[in-house]
Amino acid sequence: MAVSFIRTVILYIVVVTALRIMGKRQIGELEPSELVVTILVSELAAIPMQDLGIPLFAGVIPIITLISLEIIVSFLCLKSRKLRRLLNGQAAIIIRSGKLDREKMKQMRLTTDEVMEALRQQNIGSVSELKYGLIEPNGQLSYVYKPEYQPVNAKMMGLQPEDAGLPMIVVSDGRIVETNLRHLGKTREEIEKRIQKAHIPDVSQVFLMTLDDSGNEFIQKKEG
Amino acid sequence: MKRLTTAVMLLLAVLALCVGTQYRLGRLADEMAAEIDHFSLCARENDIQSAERAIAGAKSDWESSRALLGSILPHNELDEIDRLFAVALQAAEDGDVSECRLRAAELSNRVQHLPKRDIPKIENIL
Repeated sequence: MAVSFIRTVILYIVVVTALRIMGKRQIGELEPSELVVTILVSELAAIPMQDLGIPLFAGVIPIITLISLEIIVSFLCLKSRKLRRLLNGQAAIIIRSGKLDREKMKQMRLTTDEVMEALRQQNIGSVSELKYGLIEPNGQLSYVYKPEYQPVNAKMMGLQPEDAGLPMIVVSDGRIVETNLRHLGKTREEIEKRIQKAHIPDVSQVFLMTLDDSGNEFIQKKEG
Repeated sequence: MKRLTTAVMLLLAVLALCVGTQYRLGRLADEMAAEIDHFSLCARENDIQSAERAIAGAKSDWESSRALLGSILPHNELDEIDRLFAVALQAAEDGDVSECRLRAAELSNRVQHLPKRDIPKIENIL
């Protein structure tokens, strides 16, 4: 049992490190090859976890090899458009000027139900609202509205909204995050002043505080 | 670029590990095979004491390499060779010449097979 436990811990560290090296993507945004590698890695890790007769390296070596190959192939895809198209495919236009392209849908083995589901998930009421609808290589639907259906934005209204910066966590669970403070060019004293202005006596009583480079802040006190 | 370098370095490290372990396993198998052949020769010449010493020496060398072997080979294969060593040693202690030679042949075959399973040949890959 102890051997099983230790192997599981080791393989967990290996898998997390390997996926961390592979880079950040949501599951739904993975390219086909990345999805295959992610699934394979978990299967490979499970083998020596369950069978103590198999050496640990029998799982670790294939995992490292797969991740390394995936990174190298990704880099080559970055440099070569042809290779990218060969391995990942390309986006397919299934909606043009408010109409579905039947031939393209047949090629992609897409049903009308699937297209409507994808549109609803993007809060699009009707096919007729779109100038273009594309199915990306990762299977997601992306779209361009017809001009008359485009959502109104500040530029159209002739407005000048306040500049919103990138909010960064400066206090998390009662502790100041020094790295983010440095990025924002702020000091501890400034943060403490802001917290006191929000009627919170001390940093330790703050659950979350975010600040952006435009000075917009969000502070939430710890409950209880 | 950092990630690519890491990937290339990891791949090279894995390749080096594969070549290194294959070389080490090959040498170990040859050494063991030589000691087992010596055991078989001693048994054939009815020199039971020398045969016993030879097989005990081979078993000791095998056990000293167990840590490396356990990290690269399936444990059931190693356990099988452990069993054959134990049987060969017992045959030598009992002075059973034909049994000694039989076990020596089996052991030699098993030990020499160990590095062959990892040689990148078509039959191994497919």
